[in-house]
Amino acid sequence: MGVDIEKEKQMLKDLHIKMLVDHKTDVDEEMSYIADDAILVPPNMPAITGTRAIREALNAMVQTEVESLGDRSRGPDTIEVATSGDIAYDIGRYVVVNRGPEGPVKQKGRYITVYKKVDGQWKFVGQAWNDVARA
Amino acid sequence: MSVDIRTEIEKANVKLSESLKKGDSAAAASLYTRDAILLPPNMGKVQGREAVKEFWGGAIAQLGLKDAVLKVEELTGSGDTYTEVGSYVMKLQAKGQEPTEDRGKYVVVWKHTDDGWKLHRDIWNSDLQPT
Repeated sequence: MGVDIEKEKQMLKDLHIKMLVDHKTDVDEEMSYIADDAILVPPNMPAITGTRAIREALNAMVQTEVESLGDRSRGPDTIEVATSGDIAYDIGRYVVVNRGPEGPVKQKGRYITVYKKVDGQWKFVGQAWNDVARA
Repeated sequence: MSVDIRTEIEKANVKLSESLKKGDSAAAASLYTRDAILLPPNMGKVQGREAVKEFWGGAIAQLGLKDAVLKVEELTGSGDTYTEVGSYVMKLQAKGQEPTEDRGKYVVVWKHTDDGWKLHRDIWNSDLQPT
């Protein structure tokens, strides 16, 4: 039986919403969607590898983030699921407002997120992002 | 994972490095899918092989990109799609400027096509703070 790509895409969209909208301040909940070997690829610092380091990074983000706008509430621009049905990636845009030393800093950018199926469940395995503007 | 796929992707990375080192943006672009997307730092989306060629041409001409050494750190996937997390070292020397080196990491989605493995989605960023 072939993979129902549209069904998988919907599952990934639901996961995106759970991770970035419903539970964005609940780090324990977010960590439950992240694979053990996940990697974050942020700009201007080394990669963040493994669940312990990612948990620390998420805790820091929760502390500094004032507001998330744009994509986070509506899902990514595109989700693509491989024909094998066990690897997928999405591309989207973000707008985040963080606390800075001289007041709020708005950052806009784009990201790629990679997912894989682990024991039948989609898990977040990596994300890289780049700012396109800062104000 | 098939050892052959890792080897093929490593070979494609070497071809990309060699193309950039030669300053051949057309050869570099030919390693991407026709509908490839780049998400470079601090600029908008680059979409399609022709735009990829223009992007690398600009990096070579304006930033003085001289070399890019790519190293596979992790590769995961199956069938016709693999994702790679890697690290890079780029050597740059813009006209009239001192040579500089940038170190960073990237995520590439590889797609298998009739013409072999191609970069389909490509995003990278520096480990270094902007100067």
